[in-house]
Amino acid sequence: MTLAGWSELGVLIVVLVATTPLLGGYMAKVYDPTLGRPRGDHLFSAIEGPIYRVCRIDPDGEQRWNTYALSLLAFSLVSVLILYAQLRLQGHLLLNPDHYKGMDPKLSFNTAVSFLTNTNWQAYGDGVMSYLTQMTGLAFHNFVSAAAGAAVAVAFIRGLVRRKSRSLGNFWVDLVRTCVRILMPLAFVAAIIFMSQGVIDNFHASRSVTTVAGQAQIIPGGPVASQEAIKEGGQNGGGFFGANSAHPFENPNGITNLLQLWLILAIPFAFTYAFGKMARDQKQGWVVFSTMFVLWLVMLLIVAPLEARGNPKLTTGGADQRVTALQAGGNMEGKETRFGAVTCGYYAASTTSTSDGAINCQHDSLTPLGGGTALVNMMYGEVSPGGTGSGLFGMLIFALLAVFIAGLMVGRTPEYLGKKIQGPEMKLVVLYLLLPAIFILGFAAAAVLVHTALNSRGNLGPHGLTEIVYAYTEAFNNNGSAFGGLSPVNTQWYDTTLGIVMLAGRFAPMIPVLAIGGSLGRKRVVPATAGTFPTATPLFAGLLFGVVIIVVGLTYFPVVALGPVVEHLVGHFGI
Amino acid sequence: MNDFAFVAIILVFFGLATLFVAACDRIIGQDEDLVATPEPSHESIAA
Repeated sequence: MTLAGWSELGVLIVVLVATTPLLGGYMAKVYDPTLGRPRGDHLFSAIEGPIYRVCRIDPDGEQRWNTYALSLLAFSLVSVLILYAQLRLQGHLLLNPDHYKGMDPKLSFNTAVSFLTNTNWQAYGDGVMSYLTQMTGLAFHNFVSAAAGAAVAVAFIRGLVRRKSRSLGNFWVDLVRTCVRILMPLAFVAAIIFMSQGVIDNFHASRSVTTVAGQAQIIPGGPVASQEAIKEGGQNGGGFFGANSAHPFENPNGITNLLQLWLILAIPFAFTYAFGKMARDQKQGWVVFSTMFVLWLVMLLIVAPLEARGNPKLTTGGADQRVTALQAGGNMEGKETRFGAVTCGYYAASTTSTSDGAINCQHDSLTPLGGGTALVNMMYGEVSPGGTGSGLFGMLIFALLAVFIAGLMVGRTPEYLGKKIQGPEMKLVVLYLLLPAIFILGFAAAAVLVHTALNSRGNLGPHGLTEIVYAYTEAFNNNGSAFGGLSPVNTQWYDTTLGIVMLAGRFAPMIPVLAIGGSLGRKRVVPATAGTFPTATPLFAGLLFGVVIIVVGLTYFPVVALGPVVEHLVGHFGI
Repeated sequence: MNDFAFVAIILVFFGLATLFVAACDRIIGQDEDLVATPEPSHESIAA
């Protein structure tokens, strides 16, 4: 790695650590008015008021956990059906200067589910989506899918914090407040900065031009900057163009790339600070933050140096992978020359640590262990720092498991934030942890047995297995970062099964999380005694880190060994 | 598959999710059991 690479990482870390308390403190006030009036309260209340009136939402109304969950499901069902209809009918709708037709049913299903679930897996490629679909259908879900994740996390925090309470807040209020007070202001400011750096934002139809070399080229237009901001800020990841953030109109230079990295990570990390504030125990928030941060940094420092070192197969083939004044060096297959291998490594590690899934290089072209690290990042359940809200509640589920294990060691009933963790909560925790393995490994195994699915592999051998496992892992974890090797991926098998896995990956974990929140919220707080295992210490952070690694290792090690690890050994040692 | 099949998949999924909510509610039990329990004092816990 070069000095430039280390400097970029240093700047990113400093900015992240500095903005976590600022953004997190603001978010805590948005969700818990007893902490004080958040900035811009008058303005945002004026926007929210009419929304509540039109939608007949009682802003002071509280919901039991199951009503909260059913509200989430009802909202999601209606919005996914509307998006499905819009995708099918876009050829007859407005703002379609390139006259794109409606999508076919299987692709409409896959795409509607993908954006509903914050996955933003794009099986559709370029040149199929009208501006109206981009701006209303997809962008709407970019906001509300992130807000729904945040709402579930906030409800879960309330369950941990409240005493003897039957309710967890109001889903509709949490949804509206997240969109109006957090996501929209952030997206607005980010969009302005993106435009200032050259990200396009217009309603032009595509233009055919002749290049200086005499070749014909199509120059696309579109409202890109405004989509780009929420794409990253809401951990969505669905690019305006198929090439995503590798496209110069989405991510033209190093400044936009750094801003994108910050946007990908900012809200998930800030949620840990908001958690500490709402729990009235900031150390609890910092313990979760530090565990997430170390996981993210360790994985990043595996991917980036692997890509910087280059690929021995390419060296054998005659490629020059050295760092020189004219090239960034390293494994440049599938990477943009304006970013280089190291920055790609940062982006790949960050986008798979969160539920973002945007890419600035092709993950299928990462070194075997680099690609494997991105895969494992998602297998963690995206808790480092994860998606908007979903990262926090994922890590808090691991925290409950950690205190349960610690309780078993010393023979005491486990407690977290003064709440006893008992049988019903642990049943739901285990359910939460088993569901990903069932769906990811089950569907990947089925794909290996189905000829049409197997024939979509871009590569044979261990890399082909990784392509299949990666697809189901990113789908269940609502990441959406295509490994890029499956082709064609727009098939009946993949469109349907990945759609089902995305739905399961979104809602199957959220329901037990809300149930645990509901169960804990009605409990009393037990005063800490000498036998209480403290959860605001570095020791607990270490335990939490270990629990994440062990659970994921025990679940996925065999398939990771058969995919990326075997590929690495074959490539380096010929065994 | 046509529109009907995909809409049916979505409806079936959300139907199952609703049943899952009910199942999770059965796992955690009724509210009254725990809410009615009095808050313990520090001394009683220590004892």
